[in-house]
Amino acid sequence: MEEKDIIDLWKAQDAKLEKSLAINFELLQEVKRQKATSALKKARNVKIFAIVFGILWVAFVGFLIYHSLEFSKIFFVVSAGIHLVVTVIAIATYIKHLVLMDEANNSKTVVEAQQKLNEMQTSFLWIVRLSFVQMPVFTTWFISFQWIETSPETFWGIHVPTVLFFTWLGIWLYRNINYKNAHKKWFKVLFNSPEWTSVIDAMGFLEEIEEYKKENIKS
Amino acid sequence: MKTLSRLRMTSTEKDTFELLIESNKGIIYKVANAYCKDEEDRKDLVQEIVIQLWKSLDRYDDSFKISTWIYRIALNVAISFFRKESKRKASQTSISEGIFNLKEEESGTELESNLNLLQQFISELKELDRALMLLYLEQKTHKEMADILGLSESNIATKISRIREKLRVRFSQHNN
Repeated sequence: MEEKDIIDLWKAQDAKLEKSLAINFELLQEVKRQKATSALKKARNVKIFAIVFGILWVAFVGFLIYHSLEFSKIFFVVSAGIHLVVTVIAIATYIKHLVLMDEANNSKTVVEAQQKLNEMQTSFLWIVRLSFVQMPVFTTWFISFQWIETSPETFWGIHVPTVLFFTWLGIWLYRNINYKNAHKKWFKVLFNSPEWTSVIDAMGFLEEIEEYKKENIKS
Repeated sequence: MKTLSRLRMTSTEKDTFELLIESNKGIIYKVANAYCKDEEDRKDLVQEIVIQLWKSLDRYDDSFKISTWIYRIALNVAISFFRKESKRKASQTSISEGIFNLKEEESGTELESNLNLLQQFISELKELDRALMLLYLEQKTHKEMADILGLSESNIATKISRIREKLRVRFSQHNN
C-alpha cells in the first residue's frame, strides 16, 4: 500500500465517523453544568488525605516537642525537630502539587505540558529521598544522658554504630534513588507498589521527552 | 483560519461549545481511539477531553487555529490518561454513558481490515510518536505539528520521514 492510499484510508475513516458518530447532547450539557465527574480529579483525594494526615501528625509532634523543651530531653527535641521539618517540607510539596494540578494547562504544547506534569510526578521521589535522610532520627529520639552514663558500653558499642549505619544508609539512599538505578534489584524491592511504578514510568517518560527534544538540536 | 470568534458568529440555535464539539468530534474520537483500545475506557477519555475543553475555553488563544487548540488539549489529556489508565482501572466500578456513540457498522470489509491494521500500527508507537503519526495522517503542515507538539519544524520533518518509512514497511509486510 502506497503512502497516498494510507492517507485515503484515514480520510475514509473521517467520512465514516461523520456519518456514524452521534453526540449525546444531554451529557454535554452536564459537562457544561460541571456535573460530569473528571476521572483525573479522583487522584487528588489520595493527596488531600495525605495532607490532612500530615498536618495532624505535625501538630502532634509539635505538641510533644513543645512539652519537652528542656536540656535533659535534647536528643528527643532535636530528633523530633528534624522529623518535623522534613514532614512540613513533604506536606508543602504535596500542597504545591495540588495547586499545580489545578493550574495544569492542557492547552500548552504537548512537550511542554507533559514535561511539567511528569516533573511534578517524579518530585514525589524527592520527598522519599528526603524521608530517608531523616532515617537516623528514628534511632536517636530515645537517647538520654542517663542511658549514656549508666550503660556506656551498650551506648558506644552498639547504639552509636547503629546510628552511624543508619546515617550512612540514609545518605546512600538519598544519593542513589534515581532513574539510573530503577532497574536494580534493591530499587525494585523498595518501590514495588503500582503507585511507585507510575512515578518511575514518569521518570522514563521524562527521559523520552528529553530525547525527543535532543533530536531537535541534531537535525 | 477557523477561530472561536468566527465560530461564535456562526452559532445560532446551538451554543458555541456544542458547535465546537460537533464540528470537531472526529478529532476527539480519533485521538481517544489512538490512546485507548478499551471501549469503556475510551468513553471516559472522551468525557475527560470534553471536560478539559470546557474548562479551558476561557483560555483559548485566538492566534491559534481551533484545531491546534483542540489537538493540544486532546493529546495532552489522552497521554496523561493513558499513563494513568492501569491504575485507574482498578478503582473503576461503574460503566458510564458516553458523550459519543458510534453506530454499529458492517465489519469484515477491506476498508475495516486495513483501518484495523493502521490502528494496530498506531497503538504500537510510543506516546509522542503516536501523536505525531495522528497529525501526519490528518495531513497537518509541519508548522501546525510544531505548534501542537512544541518541536521545531526541522525536527518534525526528520521524525515524520522516519515514521513514514516504518508505516510503509509495515503495510508492505502485511500485503506480502
